[in-house]
Amino acid sequence: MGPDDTPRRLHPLSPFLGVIAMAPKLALPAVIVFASTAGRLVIAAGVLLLVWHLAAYWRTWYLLSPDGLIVRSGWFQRNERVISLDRVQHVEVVRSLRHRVTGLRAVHVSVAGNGAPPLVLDAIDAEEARRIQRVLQLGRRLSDVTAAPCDVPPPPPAPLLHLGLGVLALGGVTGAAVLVLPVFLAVGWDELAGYVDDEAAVDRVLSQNAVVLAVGGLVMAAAVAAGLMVLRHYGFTLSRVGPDLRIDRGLLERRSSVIPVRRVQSVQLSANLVRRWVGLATIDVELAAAIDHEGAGSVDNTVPVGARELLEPLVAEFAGVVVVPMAAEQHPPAARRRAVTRRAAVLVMPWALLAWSLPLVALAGAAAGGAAAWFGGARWWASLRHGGDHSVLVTESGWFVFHRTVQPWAKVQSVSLRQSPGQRRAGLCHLDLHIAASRSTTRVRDVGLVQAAALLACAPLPALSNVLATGAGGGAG
Amino acid sequence: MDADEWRPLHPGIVSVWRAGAMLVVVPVLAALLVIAILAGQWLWWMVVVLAGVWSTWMVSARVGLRYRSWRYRFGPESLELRRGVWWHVATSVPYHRIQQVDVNQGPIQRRFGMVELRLRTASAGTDCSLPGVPQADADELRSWLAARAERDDGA
Repeated sequence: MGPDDTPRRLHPLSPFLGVIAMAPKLALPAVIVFASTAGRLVIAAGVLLLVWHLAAYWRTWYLLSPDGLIVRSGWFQRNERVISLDRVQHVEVVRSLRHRVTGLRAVHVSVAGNGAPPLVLDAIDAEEARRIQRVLQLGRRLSDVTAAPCDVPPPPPAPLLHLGLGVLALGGVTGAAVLVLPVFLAVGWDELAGYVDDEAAVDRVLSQNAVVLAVGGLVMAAAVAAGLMVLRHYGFTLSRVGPDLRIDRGLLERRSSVIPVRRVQSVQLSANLVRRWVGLATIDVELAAAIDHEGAGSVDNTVPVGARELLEPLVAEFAGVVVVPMAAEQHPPAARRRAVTRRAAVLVMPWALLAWSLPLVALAGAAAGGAAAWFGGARWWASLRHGGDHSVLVTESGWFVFHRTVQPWAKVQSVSLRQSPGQRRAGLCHLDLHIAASRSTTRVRDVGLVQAAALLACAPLPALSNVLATGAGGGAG
Repeated sequence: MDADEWRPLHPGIVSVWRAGAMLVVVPVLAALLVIAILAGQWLWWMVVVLAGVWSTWMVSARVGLRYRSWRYRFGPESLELRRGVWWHVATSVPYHRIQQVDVNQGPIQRRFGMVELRLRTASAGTDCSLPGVPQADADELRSWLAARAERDDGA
């Protein structure tokens, strides 16, 4: 079960799986060309594609050495990619439909570094995929002690969370995916309207069945959203395997990800207004790994949905701390004034344009805008909280979509303190903590300067709190 | 390298920024002037006057304020920067987080013998550029920062 000295090829079915993987993208042009009498052209192109994948297969080798994973490929341009064990962020074993039919797997290895795409070994048999995942994860941990990973039996996974069908469906209905169908229908309706001759008849049918259509549309939208969530996260199980966390999920495409806790850059618990009402939330984890166009390597929606009281302890698991401190400190009242003023500038000022032509409408609009600004600003301010200890900083913000971010101090690369003129007058600032992840900044919004000083005093790195001597008019003289 | 001493940028950077601003405002002013002469309407001459005020602001006052807003120091554990006229931004980059030190020099900077040092950490969010470093000092400064990064990392 350890590393070896022999370079290995991918599975012989790899070229066929490669062609199948490209099929959805090429299907439409192929049908069009086939229908336009050039059928033999499509067959020739398919054969060429297969030959190309066969050639690629013939020249692709990988070697799992004690130092890392080495992959050699290419005919004309020979490429060799070496991924050292200490740069591996997380390893994911993917089992899409084509893999399930053939009993094979794809292994995605995400590495640290901006712009470095995850390495994908497509078409590997199941046992080999498990071996690679295990050696890369084990080797990363043992590399500090010994050069070669040894045959340590895997610790048994300890389940932390399992999501049933009901929770997943509810998560889909209460998430942004519920807008997928209405948006699709709105765009499609505009397109269809151009082909309708008797628009009056259509309007008549619509107005006579408005309630039925509205209810049907809502049910359909909910069903699509729930279906999408179930499709992606069916059988979601989060478990602890030694010091790492493992996630298994997916209906058609099964994914098994291992997230090393020590690689986690920050953790965010989020819940929109509807999910807060029904007691649900999500967890997103940031790693220092690149994200490819298919989302592999991404751990957005790490826990796609779940009861909030179950997810809150898991945030500590992901952040690698025993307990996440409370975000008990509220931001100064000046932050509320700023929030209301900023909203009023957007919601009230535009009505001034109508002040001469439609004074009553302008007055009513400005009054409604002012009320909305006051309400929205006050709610926003009420959501702003922060806290922390010597391990992590915790910041909360957002009324419509609530976010609680837990930021380990050890992962902070640099600190910035930003102040607009309005914030300077009010003694506020934005405190930006820069981290090595795709969401590169954790921001504590509109925090008081004294509070920022107290927060940074918790940081184990004194260098980070130097920013206060630099900012807020201090130090420079 | 003297630590703990707040410094302004090298005064030569004012010429660099001024030349950069001139490259923007001169073509705009010239184009507006031609339009005003061809159109012969007082409205266009008003636009030219406003553009002239804007150009004066860009070339003199804004550059002066920007220069005065800049301070930096090599602290005991971090490089600290403070800058910004409208938005004040203060940044602290611990030496042991530095991954890479770049020396950048554009044509205008080359003309005035200046370079810009850009410090990179593992985070794309870190915005730490030190403009107005005399070319003669750049290599020494870069080596010093790299040595500090390596020393602190080892510690």
